[in-house]
Amino acid sequence: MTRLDYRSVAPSGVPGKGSHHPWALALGVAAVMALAGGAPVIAQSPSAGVPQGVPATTLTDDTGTVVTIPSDPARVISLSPAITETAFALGAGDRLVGGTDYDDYPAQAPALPDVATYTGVLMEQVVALEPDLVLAAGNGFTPDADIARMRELGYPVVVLYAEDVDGVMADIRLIGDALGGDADAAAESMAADMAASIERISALAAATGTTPRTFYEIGDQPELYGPAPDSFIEDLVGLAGGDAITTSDPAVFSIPVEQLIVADPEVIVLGDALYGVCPDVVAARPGWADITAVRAGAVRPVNDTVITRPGPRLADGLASLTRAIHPELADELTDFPADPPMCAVAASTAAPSASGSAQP
Amino acid sequence: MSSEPLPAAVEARGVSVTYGTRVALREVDLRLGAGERVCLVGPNGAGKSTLVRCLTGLVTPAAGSVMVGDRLVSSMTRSDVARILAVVPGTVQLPFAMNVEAVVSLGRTPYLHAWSGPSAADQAAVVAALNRVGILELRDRDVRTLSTGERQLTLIAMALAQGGTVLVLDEPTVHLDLRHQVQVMELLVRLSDVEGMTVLAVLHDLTLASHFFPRLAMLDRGRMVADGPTAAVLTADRVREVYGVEPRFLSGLAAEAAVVVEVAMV
Amino acid sequence: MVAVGGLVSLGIVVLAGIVLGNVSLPVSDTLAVLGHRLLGLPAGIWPASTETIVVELRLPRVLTAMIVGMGLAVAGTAFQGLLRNPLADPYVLGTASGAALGAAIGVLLPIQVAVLGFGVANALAFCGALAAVAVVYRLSRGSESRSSILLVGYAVGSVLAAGLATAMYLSGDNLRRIVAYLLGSFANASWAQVVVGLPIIVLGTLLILSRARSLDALLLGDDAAAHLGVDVRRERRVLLALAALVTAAAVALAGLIGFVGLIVPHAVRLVVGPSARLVLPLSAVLGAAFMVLADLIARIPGELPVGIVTALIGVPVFLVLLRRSPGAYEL
Repeated sequence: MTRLDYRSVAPSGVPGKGSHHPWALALGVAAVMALAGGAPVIAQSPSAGVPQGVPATTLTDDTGTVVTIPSDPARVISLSPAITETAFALGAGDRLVGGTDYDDYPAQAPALPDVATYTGVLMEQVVALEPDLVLAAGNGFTPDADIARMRELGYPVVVLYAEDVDGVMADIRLIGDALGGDADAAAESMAADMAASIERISALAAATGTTPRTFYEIGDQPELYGPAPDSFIEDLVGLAGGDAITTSDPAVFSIPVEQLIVADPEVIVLGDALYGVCPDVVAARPGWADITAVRAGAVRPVNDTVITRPGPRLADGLASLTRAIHPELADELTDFPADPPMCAVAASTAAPSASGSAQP
Repeated sequence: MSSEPLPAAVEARGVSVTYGTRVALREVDLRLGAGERVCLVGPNGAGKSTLVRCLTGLVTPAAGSVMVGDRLVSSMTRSDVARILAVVPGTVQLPFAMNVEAVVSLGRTPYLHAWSGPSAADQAAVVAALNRVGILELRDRDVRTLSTGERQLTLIAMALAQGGTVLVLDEPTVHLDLRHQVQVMELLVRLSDVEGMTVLAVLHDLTLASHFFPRLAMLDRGRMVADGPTAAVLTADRVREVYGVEPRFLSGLAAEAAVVVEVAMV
Repeated sequence: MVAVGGLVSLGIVVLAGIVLGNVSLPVSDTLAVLGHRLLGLPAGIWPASTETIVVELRLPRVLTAMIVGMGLAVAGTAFQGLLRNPLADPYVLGTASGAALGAAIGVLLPIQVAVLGFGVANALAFCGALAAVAVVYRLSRGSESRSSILLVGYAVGSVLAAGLATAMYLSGDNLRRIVAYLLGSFANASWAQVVVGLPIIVLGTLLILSRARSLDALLLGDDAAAHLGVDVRRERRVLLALAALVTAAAVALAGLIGFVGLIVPHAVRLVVGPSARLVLPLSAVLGAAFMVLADLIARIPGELPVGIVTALIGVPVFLVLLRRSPGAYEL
């Protein structure tokens, strides 16, 4: 059996005087690289989080990491709108030196220098602001790589993530603890007030005696999105006196339309109303006309921002959600702010025939 | 004829090659003396290309041996072989534009080192090769703009740049027009008669072969059926038997022509 | 001449990359910091944040961009020569899909470990890239034709891309991270990464450079190259392995950045001709400079994905060059 045989090359032979170009070039490249290779000598490990002699607090953040921070941080960076809101609400807004580019509340928030965008943290901006505390958002909202990098650079980073409604109050307390001073006490009373309000709203909802099947629509492009089991929104819907319709798996947020039709919600809450998804749009969707909520006209827009933001306005959000699920409670929730006007026609007052009658 | 055999430049002894179940070569002997000019002929599938690949060491025979000079080709590195024996590729498809001089410079590959560029000696060899073939004025032309004949000459120059003493050509005249066929053949004659190179060419065209090569080696179905002076090899019986066609032989002045055209009288 | 010009432009671009950035720092401060840390000049007065930005953020970032650009350009040259195909780039044998799938799996795994600045995603991207090439190589062995390895590469790449699409579909919230990876970025460059990545890429590059003559001979085809004295089987294997290794390292450092590996070698060839002996080192220099420049443009406004910048700059420049040499390519 034959085989193809390409054997090795021996470099022996006539030694030539090399033409120097490629050699010099290779040398040049290697030299530059060697300089770069001196890197370890140049780099110095960044300083530890809290400088010597400064009073420090130790706390455990929501990822279980134990973080040492200055007790009275004067330059704080917030990496989520909820954290920004909370800081302002606790009276520490003047200590914030940086926020995200989508902070929208309170009115002073958008003016903060932007250190984070949707894609991630702008590391140079963070460093330039010389913060002594960074408050980051967990569950990947602030990219893990960025959190690690900031810690590597020596900045104390406290990561916050609320998995459920109780977690939001815990986070407010944690932020108060981190900010120290008056903010600590303010957080305690704010959390207590919020808990009380939530308790009250929830009791009102339970007292109605009905728990309508509720679908909280998070989005509809390119697929229908709703709350996953054991999610924050499911928790809220439960507190608002609804029986939440969820997706099939905690890791999945999309729900096939057929599954929704079978689940047959009695109330549909439009969390995507801010994107223009209004009751008339929903009623026009093929196959939706026979859903109980659509037939009864119980498709209601809400201000998703306030409902899903894990911040100081959560009780207001819960009230808004409760009004959407139990409109009969509207009069008893007047001490909470009303929703901003959304969607031209108030769907709950439209006659059933206007939202689409069943067609053969 | 000299009384002593010329020293062998390349010699195949008892070479047998099988591809799977197909026997490509069956105990083939071929001895090329230094300075000889030999043409390898035979019908398609006779095994000519396989024999060439054995001679150059690309294919290791199942039986038999190949020697280049006094060394077994199987004991030599590719670089060693390349310095002695050069193969002119039939056609070449270049993915990038290259000029003639660049292509011919590739012939110096066996002499190049990892880090240095071509030396003065290398550059001189390239120019010498271009001159020997007579295409020095084409050195800066893009190879793809050349005619097929000029391209073939470029490849021959590249092979010559390898600085060896043996030149092997596999069907060098296939796509060439008559003028270039003759030009290439005359170059080969010059290389062997005047410069003493050993030349082995595989040709289809028996007329061209008989005109330019004093010795023919004929392969048929893997066997060497004839090997010797052209007139002795090209007999009517043999051509009939091997090629299956009826030849006509010309003598006298007509026999001096390199190219013969028959005009049928209508 | 060309070489010197290349190195000078590299130097200029690197300096620009360190002096300019998302935050405006006074040039004098930046140069003073560099002088102090690199050359041991006496320390002056500057804000600590300036030093951190220059030394911890910009310097490693520029260096990473240099080595990634260099690696991709050299690997691209090698693949184009090995496959005798001007359209080849470092990702053509499934490397990109393998790396992307590896990274996606890394993002989805619930493990959060970082060793020397490389997380699970980086490590899996590296392994994925190498694994893809290994699979393609094995599947195409025994076939003599050049186009078969390309076709196998395409097939394997497609399967891996399907795997990636599945991972993305299942990723939920993490989709953003996977997409960010796919677009390429130097935002996470750090000294730890440089220390690991630089030796691999530099060594791989130098080894490829040393095999320039094999690449040149291979342009004529396997048989002709063998007749010119090249151990074709060994050289192909070694060059393929080296190019794949360098690509995998580049991808592990910075994600999938396109166009550099394809276009830089061609741009260089249009100036100096196709001899790998010249094209390889010049591509290394030009690739490094181009990548630093692209990253600079990407990060000044605020972290655009660098892959978009390389496409936006690279493609028009290349088209202009191509028009000036109309006969350069026959496809």
